[in-house]
Amino acid sequence: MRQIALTAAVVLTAAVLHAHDFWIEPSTFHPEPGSTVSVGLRVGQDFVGDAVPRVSTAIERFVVIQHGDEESIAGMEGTDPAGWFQADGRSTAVIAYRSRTSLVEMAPAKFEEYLRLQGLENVIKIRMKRGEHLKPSRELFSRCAKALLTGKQTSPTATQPLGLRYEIVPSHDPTVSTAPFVGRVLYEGRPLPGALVIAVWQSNPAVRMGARSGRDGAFSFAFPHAGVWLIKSVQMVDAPSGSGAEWESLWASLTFEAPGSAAMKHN
Amino acid sequence: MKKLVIVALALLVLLPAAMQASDHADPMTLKEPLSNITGLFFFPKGDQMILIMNVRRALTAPKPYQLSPFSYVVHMDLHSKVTYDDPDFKARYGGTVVNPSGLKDDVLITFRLNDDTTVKEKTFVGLTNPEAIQVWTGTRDDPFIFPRFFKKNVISMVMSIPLTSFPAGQQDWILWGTTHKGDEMLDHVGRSNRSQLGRFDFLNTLKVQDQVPAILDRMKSRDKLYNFFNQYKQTQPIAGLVQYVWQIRKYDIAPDVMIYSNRFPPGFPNGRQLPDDIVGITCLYGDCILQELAYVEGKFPRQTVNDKPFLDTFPYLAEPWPDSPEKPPLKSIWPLVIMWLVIILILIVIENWIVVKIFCRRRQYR
Repeated sequence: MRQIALTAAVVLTAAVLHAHDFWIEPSTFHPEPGSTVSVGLRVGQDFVGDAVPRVSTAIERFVVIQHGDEESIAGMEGTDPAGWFQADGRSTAVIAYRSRTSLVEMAPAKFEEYLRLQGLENVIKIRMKRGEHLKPSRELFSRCAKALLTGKQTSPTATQPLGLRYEIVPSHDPTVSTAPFVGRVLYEGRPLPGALVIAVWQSNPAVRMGARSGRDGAFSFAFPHAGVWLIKSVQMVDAPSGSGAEWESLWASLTFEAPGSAAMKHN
Repeated sequence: MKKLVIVALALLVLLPAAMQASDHADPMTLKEPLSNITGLFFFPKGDQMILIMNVRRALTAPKPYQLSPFSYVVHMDLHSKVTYDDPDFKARYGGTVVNPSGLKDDVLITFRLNDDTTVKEKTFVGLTNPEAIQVWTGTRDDPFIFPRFFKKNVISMVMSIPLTSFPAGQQDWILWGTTHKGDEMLDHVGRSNRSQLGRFDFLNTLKVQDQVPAILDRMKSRDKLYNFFNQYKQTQPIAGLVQYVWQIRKYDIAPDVMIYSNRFPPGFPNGRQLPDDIVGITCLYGDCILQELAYVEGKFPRQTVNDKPFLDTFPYLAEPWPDSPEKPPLKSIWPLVIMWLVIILILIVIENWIVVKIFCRRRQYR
């Protein structure tokens, strides 16, 4: 059994959610073969998100991988949904979105609050050590979102890293498995230990769980309910020199619909 | 000035698409006018389904028409799943075809016509009791309610198909029409005012099963084109034109088929009946170029009924207009282009000759 530092489910209050959550919301998580799936991008909290229209200058990669084939997702500039594709339906499809970086400035107190909410206490310590804790922050941020859609059978792609800079990678296909969710967080392709990973249930966003990744980047959740889940995590590193920012954050998310076991349905 | 030049160039490239879009004359490059589909109608009448396919726009010339090389085909899919829960798609297309790639010819109706518009050959595949199907072919008034086609005829193929020819309990029909010359597909029709729009010209020679992937591909390439022009101050007007004429809309991702369901009252977009005001209805949902042109070319207020009353009895289409000479076909631009190229070439030669002469004379003086 892989090393998991902390898997105890923690019920978090609504206040801990930061308004920066970003996730992929397809028109369906169970497309029929040949059907057209629209891909919405959402930013918000409690699974209530504002639509993020397609802005090509903000997109680094926006693709769907079906049966091993990767294709870019078509879309119309400035509109929501941000894209469409035709579902293959043969196996689990993976949608991936990687944004370019944007710059944000924040007052020191607000920045510190946000760092705590995202489990980035190490950054608070570093800022303190550097004497930056009373200064406003300048932060680059970018998104690394994924969604899994069911197909007739599971696909190896569902459990493979796609090369996103920060990425949540399930260890088994959670769209077909009712076993506890086990996954890893990878930063630049390597396991990231100590990252806070949060899972939120769409049907009732008050139901959420948190875990810290282990040395091998692994974490797990035993979902109490079937349905659509959002798994998310934030990584923060020093911003590249010359970028005009001190910090760079990477926001990873994974959305999918977990099938129900008899026990789950009972709950 | 520069801006004017850029806009003029863009107009030159893009406006033909917009203008051609208006004349229910798709495909835009009208190689074979006699294969050009001008309308597809499907509606119930008692215990019959009436099916009409019209070809040859703006017809006023007398017979014969050299129709024998062409075949005219109506395809029907009777098994594919159609859903009606998306109000956008129901309003525009009559419903949603869940798996467009899986569309099949459960019914295939093929006509070949003699040059006098009588039936040369007809086949009905997938329909029971085909001898009970009543057929009429010939010239009739163009039923499209649009000023440019008032007082014009079309060549019609009209069928009255007993409901008993379809599988018992059939509720949903997906149909489309194609024309062919030998193995070459020349034109396609599905929902009215779709494939004649400039942004959809590519659909006219595509199999219906391949249309959605092709639409998604065009969506990508045209969005790139739009974004390219939209990023510079000088080219932004071109981006506006690309958006209006070419860009694939978010509601365009559907195969070009006609959907009819007896779960709902007949009439566009649930099938199509002869009096349907396609120009007005399609404008309600975003495609307004025909409505604009109806105001440009027609009288006020816009006419929303046909220019001749339809018949109450089979074949339902209005009697044809009298024959009259047609406008000669448009000239080719190539002679003009070649003439200008020759003039430019001559001017270059003269200019070079003068330069050489001056150069030689100067050398002589030295």
